[in-house]
Amino acid sequence: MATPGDDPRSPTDQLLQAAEQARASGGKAAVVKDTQIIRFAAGDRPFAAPIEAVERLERVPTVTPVPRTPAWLHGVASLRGGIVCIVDLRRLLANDEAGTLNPRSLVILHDGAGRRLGVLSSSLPDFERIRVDESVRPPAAEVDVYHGAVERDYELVGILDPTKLFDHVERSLGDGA
Amino acid sequence: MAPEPDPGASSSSPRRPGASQAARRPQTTGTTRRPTLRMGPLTTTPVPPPEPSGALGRLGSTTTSRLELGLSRSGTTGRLTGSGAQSRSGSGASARPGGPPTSLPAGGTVSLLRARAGDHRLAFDLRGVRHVDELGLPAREAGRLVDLRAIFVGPAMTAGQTLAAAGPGDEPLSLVVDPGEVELLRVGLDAVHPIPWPLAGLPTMACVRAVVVLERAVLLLVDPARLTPGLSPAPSPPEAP
Repeated sequence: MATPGDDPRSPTDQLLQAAEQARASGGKAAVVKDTQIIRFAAGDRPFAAPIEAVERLERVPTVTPVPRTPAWLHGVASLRGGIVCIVDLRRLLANDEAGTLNPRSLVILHDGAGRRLGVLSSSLPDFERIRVDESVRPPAAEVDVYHGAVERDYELVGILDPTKLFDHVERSLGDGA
Repeated sequence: MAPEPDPGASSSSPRRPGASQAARRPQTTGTTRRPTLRMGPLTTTPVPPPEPSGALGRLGSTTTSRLELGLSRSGTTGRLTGSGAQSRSGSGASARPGGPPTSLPAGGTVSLLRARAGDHRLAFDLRGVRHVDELGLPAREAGRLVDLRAIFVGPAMTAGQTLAAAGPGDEPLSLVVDPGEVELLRVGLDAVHPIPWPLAGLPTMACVRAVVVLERAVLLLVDPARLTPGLSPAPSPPEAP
């Protein structure tokens, strides 16, 4: 098991591992540092991502569909820096196909290992700073793509872990292909 | 190949009435047999002249222009259909006069053929396409028929247009695409990108080598050499559980 002194795959991993260890020790969670997240929504489902995992925010681009791919993969788009796949998190994580997404912006996520993904957002993203002790475990029923969650407006907002999310994308494409 | 000089326009020949006018008269395009575009594998060896029976025309920018393609091997010609063969250049350049084929043209541009398979836009390296068959006519070279619409969309119910290309092991292929949508493009090399993550491993993308960005749309650059006989149409996307 990695210790805080090790060098995990992302800085957020190190932060949350330290927070979990502090809570597991039974003592009050030590506040290592605050972290900043970006909140957005896919339809009526709220999501968040650590600021370190967000490459940039974009307007909704022209999306070219890719043949014979799942419905959650809208297609690809040409953006500054190359070609990016565009996905609908509602359909990918919750199989929610009710209504239309009506995207208003695009959040480009990256895992620091060369993988990038464009996530459609039906809202304009918000920046927010949270304390480490605000982070709670996401609901167990959800797909394991989260670092944790924060409570906002009486609902849990999952904080995406880009590595887990990208791995889930690869598995979903492999299962469906 | 450079056209043979007109003896009548030579400055060393004795002047004849009207000779100076002939020398100044611009080259017409309707009757000259000057090749305007070469196809086939690009090498530094001279390309044999086109057969006298093939009518050639200059590549223009109007919708009535035709693109005449010369084979580097057999010397036969093919042309895009009369349904509106067009040329478009992403970089603003126009087709250059015929000459000995070379490797990638100077200026960092590449010539591609654009086609459609349903909603999907495909691109082919012009160097790997031998000719384009006219609508309604049988394929010039039988080869193995590969319906790209079946691979990327589903079983097609309408007749398509065929592109003759070299498949695996230089096997002749007849690629079927949507009719009347074949266009010549010239784009900069910076428009060509690798297949983005995570699409590279998908079975549908097995014959795709790269993607090409053109006017905010993304074209799939198909490599005929990857169209193996075992490449079957991909299954439909899975139903949502």
